[in-house]
Amino acid sequence: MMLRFSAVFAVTAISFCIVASARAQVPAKITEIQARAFESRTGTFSENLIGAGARELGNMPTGKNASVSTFIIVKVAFGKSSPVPTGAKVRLVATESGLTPFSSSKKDQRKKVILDSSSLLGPADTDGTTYVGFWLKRTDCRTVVLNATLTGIAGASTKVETLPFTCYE
Amino acid sequence: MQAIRNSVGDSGTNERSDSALVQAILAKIIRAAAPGRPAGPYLTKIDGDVGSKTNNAIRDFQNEYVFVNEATQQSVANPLATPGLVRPGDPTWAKMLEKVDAAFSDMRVLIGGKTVYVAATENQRQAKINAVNALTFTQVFRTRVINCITQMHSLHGIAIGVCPQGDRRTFQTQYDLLTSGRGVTNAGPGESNHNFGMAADLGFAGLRWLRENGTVVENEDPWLHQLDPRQTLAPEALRFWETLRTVGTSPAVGAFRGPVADRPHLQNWNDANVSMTRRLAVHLTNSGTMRWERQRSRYTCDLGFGGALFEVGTAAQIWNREATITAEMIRTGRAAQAATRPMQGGQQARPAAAPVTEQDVRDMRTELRRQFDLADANWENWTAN
Repeated sequence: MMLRFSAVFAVTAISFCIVASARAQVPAKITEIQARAFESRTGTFSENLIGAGARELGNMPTGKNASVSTFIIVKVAFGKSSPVPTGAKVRLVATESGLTPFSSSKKDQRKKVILDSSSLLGPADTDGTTYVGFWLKRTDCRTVVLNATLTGIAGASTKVETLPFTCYE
Repeated sequence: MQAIRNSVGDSGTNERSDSALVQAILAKIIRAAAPGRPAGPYLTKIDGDVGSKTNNAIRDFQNEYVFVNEATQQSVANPLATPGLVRPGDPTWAKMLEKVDAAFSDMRVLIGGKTVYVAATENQRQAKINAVNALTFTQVFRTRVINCITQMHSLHGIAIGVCPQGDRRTFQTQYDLLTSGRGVTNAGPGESNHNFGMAADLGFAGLRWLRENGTVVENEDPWLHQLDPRQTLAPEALRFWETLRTVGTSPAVGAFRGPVADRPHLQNWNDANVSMTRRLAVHLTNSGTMRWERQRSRYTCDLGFGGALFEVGTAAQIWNREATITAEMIRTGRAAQAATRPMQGGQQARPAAAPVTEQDVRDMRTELRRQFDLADANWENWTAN
């Protein structure tokens, strides 16, 4: 009887270790970047500007949904019930680039980093995801490339998205 | 499928657009697996340049479909076909059209270009027209925009559409754009050809074009950011913009271009020698209760007193209730107005005018803004001459 109990215990313990090991092996990674335009006339945020069906980003500073700044949300996943990786940060580099070929002015067209900021991860949900927010103070007429990197842990994860803002007379 | 104009392949004419189209077709015909070779397209690169890979792909295709009896798989002569070459309408071309994936049975390429795209469907064209019908234009110009969409689809298989904010812009929208700080426009409220429903910005949202590796771009935006990510008007993108302008200004559409660099733009009138500021002054006078004139980029106005004109600032200043009104202007205007009124019986002198207050100045700024609001509301009656 004792032998049978020990065997069951051992199998259970091994199974637990395998599961725990599998959980620990889930690499923390950036799984999504969202961008939500802050709308000046309403004080509200837009739907996500990234992905299929997202609105077209032309002449954003105008109209009833006028917007000149954007909130960026980076989603990090590191496995269900896993601890938040200590020291992990999300670094977001936002770079304005591209011309506004249909504008009256061709000035101020150089590539420019408009944000280079790192933020520690906050509390995570039980599904092992957490979100980090960044504020882009000026987004209007030029393409913005978002480069999010997970730092401070082994196996850095990176995700890149583009917001093709443009303006035209 | 668009027809090729000349031969493609070994010793062919190999015009770039013909070559790209043939390559695209070969990229969209799946060759059956064979020992040592998995199933896959005959060609995996669409670049408009014919080299050994393209020639070999043509030969491979011919050996499996043109110089063979498909039923018996026996080699046969086909005197109308040339090994290694595709000619307009020849058996190789016909067989390529027969074998290409049905989803790619109507591919196009602009002459001289190498960007092959999938022709838009009738439903896609109609959806763009339906969108135009929900936008704000004068009826005459709306018809031209729809004609342009129809012509682009009929001639090139492209379903163009109106960009966001690409229809009539209110004066407020124009002010937003002017003050965005990016130098997008120099035109203030009422000074843009977009403010009167007779101009449109058109674009290529939804254009399904094939990348060099044959994959289809499914999320192109109106300004071709996928084709031209840095928006430098790269030659392949420029070809689309030039085509849009050519079609838009053709007799079948009858629209006109705007500024040379403003490629998405079409409008209802030829603006050579038309001053938008002078026309706004006329429109303000016709729409409101004051007389206006233009003085370079600023405006003069009689403030409703019916006499001399006073400089009251730019359209943007007036719109933002910052007209350059002074108390002295109002005092002068009132005095001049009073002087025109006949004296009452027995009156020896006119009564002294009431002093002008700061509130009077603020009220006049608000009134000038109201005159602009009237012009904005009367947009359909603006004229270019």
